[in-house]
Amino acid sequence: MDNGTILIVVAFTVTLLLYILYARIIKHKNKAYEALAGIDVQLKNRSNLIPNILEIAKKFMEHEKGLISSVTELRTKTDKDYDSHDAAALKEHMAVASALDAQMGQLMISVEAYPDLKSDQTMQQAQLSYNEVETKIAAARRFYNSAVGQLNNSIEIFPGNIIAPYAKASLMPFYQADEASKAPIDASSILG
Amino acid sequence: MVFSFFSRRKPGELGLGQVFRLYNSAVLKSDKLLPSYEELGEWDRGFSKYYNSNLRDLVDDFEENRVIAATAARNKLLWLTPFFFIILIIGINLTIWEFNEYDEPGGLGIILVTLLSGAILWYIKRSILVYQNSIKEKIFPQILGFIGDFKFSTDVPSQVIKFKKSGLIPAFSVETNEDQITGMYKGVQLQLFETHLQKWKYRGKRSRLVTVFNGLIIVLNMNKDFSGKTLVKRDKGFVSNWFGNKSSGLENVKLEDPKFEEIFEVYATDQIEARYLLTVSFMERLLELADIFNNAEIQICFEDNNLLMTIPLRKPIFEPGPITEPENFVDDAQSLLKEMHLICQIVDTLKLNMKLNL
Repeated sequence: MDNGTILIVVAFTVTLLLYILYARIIKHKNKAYEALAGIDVQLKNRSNLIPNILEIAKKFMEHEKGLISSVTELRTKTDKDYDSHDAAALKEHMAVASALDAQMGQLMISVEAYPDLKSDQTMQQAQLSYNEVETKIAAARRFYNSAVGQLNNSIEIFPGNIIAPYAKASLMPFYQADEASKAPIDASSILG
Repeated sequence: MVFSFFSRRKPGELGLGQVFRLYNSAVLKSDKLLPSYEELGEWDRGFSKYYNSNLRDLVDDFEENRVIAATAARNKLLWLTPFFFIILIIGINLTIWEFNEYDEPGGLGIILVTLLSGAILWYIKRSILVYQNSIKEKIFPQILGFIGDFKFSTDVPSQVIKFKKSGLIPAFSVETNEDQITGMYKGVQLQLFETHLQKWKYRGKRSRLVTVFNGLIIVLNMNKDFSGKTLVKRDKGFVSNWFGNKSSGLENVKLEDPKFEEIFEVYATDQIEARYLLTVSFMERLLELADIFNNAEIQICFEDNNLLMTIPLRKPIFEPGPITEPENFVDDAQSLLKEMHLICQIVDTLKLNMKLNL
């Protein structure tokens, strides 16, 4: 085998490997966006449930007007369109959704203090549906984190870091469950 | 909480051990103590009261039947033992004669000993089996009544073929079923039965049946609507998983729990639905279940609003205690309640009883 043939074989092999890596990054990127879309579908489901819950809650929870209005505002903000390819916009969207998680969680806890509301049949059904959709959101976020983990690994590990710009792929933020569940959320700071 | 299936008086198949213990005349003695049930955990809380009101009064009758059955089996064992030795001696002589007469002996002596010993054993076991079936038919439904509205049946029709499309059932030729429990738990339809699946294997002109699955099949009807299919299979190594993945046409789902990932492989049509079903607590529960069933190769399929679970077992589990020990139904109840508790926990963990129409 002469030098020219060896060179062609090596060049072909390298090109093939680079293409495989490129295709893998594209695949991971698409998977991550698919997962993100999955979260948004579930957030929309939750968003559709919230007005019903608030409607029932308003009748009983006169002293929680502030909480109810912040939930309403956060819901409107979560429903707003955002540029999923913009990391900052994506982070903000996640933060708003997390804030809504926390506020809704607070609202559900507050329900406990109102025995009439707690025992209301419609409220009980609404709470069950809400818990169900929350489980689906959690599942969608787990898929998102798994997909983002794969994408970020493929981008950060050499030679992925060189190929990534050609595949128009960049690091995506993980959904941080702890930030939302552990820290008390000040809704006003997010609502501006 | 992890508990073992193997209690002191463990239920299990009617093996040679039970038959040999019949040589001891002490097995015919009854326990004079007043039977009582000691609760052991969360899974049998409140059962002692139920035992006193529903089962204790039946103990005397069944103990009497046990002694009658054990006496009959023991008498058969004692008078057939000399015949067994005669058959053994004839078998040995026949084998020696075959080796002297033929270049390629056909194993006539071994076949004779095996067949006749089997017939003797079956004859001895028959009286024990009649008694043990009476426990299954009359006592097991009573025990199950504590948990919910359940039926226990020893006569189970062929039905495994309808689960084939799940991808969990191997190809089989012969199906033998027994011990079926059906009923409702918290509004969820539940069915489980023991099955033994065998397949004909051909080698030249010879054919023989080999076991391809022996264990439990559990079907839970879910109140949730699923659009996809999620399979949880035992991890069988990279190559096997890769082929399994390609042949099933499902997507591999990578989950967060490293221990779960080490033991199981998940395939699904919908990644989110798979994670919705396989919550962190469900993964933990499944690991616990695998541990309790002695690391049996538990596999699950969620499809058509049903959860199908297969659990291979080395021994049948829905079996009464040995005939060689006094009857009080305590160990029967403990085993049955533990097993059913685990299965019911699947319903609780997945909240299968909730219809939410999302």
